[in-house]
Amino acid sequence: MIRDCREARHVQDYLDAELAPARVLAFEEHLKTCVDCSAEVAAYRKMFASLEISLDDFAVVDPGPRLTEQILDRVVPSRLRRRWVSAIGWVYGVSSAVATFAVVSWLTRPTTPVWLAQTYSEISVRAMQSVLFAFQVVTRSWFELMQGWDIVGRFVAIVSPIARALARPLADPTLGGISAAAMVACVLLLWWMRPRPGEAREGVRNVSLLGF
Amino acid sequence: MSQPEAGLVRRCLAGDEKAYRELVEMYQPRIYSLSLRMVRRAEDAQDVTQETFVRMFRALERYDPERPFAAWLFSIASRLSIDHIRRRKHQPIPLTQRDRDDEEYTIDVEDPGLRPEEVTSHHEEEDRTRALIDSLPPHYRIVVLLRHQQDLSYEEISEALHLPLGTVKARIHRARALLKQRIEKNP
Repeated sequence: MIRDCREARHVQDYLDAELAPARVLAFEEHLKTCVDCSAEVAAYRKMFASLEISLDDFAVVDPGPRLTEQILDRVVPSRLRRRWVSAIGWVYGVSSAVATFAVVSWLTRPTTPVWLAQTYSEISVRAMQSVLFAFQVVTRSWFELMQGWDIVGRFVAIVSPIARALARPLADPTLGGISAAAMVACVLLLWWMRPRPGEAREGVRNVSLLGF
Repeated sequence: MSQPEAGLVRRCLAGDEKAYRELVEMYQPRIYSLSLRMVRRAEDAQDVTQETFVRMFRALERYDPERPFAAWLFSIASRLSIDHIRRRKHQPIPLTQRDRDDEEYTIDVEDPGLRPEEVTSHHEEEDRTRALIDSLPPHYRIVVLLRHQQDLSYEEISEALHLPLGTVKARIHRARALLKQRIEKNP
């Protein structure tokens, strides 16, 4: 043991070749005279050798190509892409198979057609109700809006004098009779001008001339 | 960085997939042997090795070519190994110990792994030195392994562990002293 020798603190640096050249010479001189330090150097040398031997075995340990491939699978860009594509493909394939199986087995059950018909009918009714409800809401909203802006009131105010002016001559029995007769004559004329099957179209004057 | 590694890193960054393989094959045994000595179980060591390379490749663009490549890679492996031990034992073990006058003051850290006698009883084929190395606390074990197994210089170990050079030297000296003490106790 070298508890008392101050030079002993240089033993490991000496063995690690970490001492300055001048210091090495001085320490080697010291070793010639200090039995404790010499013994310490010898003990450390022996331990270093033992360390090298025991750790050397591990230095040559190789976990093999399998680990190399596992690492490359996780880092090489093309392998990563392949991995993703393969993973997505598997997920897609498996989900499709499961979904197809589920749908087919469900469809082949005896209760399924009945359930489908009921559901379809229910959905139709609900859809129609929804459409009507939406139509009603929109219409009502527009009506409320027009009420709010007094559009209806203004329209009535504009139209009512015209209506009154037209209604006054029609209230007279003579003028009313003449107007009714004219309307009937017009209807009859249009009926007479109707297109008839088998007639040549060209040169025929019928209601087509009016764009009907 | 030495020439082959610099070239390999450049080729990896350029997307050369053969370079990925060459880099892995070049360092895999060393990283695995270090991890195995640290975490002790082959499966765990393979996980640590795999994760080390994955992280290295992911960080390759940020790698500073001025730094020694081996030290950079070992810094990832060391951190992962120590994290692994921490997780396994649910017991925090500080990697960076504060030093007083360039000496470690926390030396009797509880060994998170197997005791020497347990190691020898479980693995009879392992010799006593290995058992003694295994009995060292992780922050001592890693410096011994980087120095004696991976032949890294003090500067490289300092770089790898992000520790001051003085701390690295103090730890290595202390770890060896512990080993020597234990050898002398059980001749």
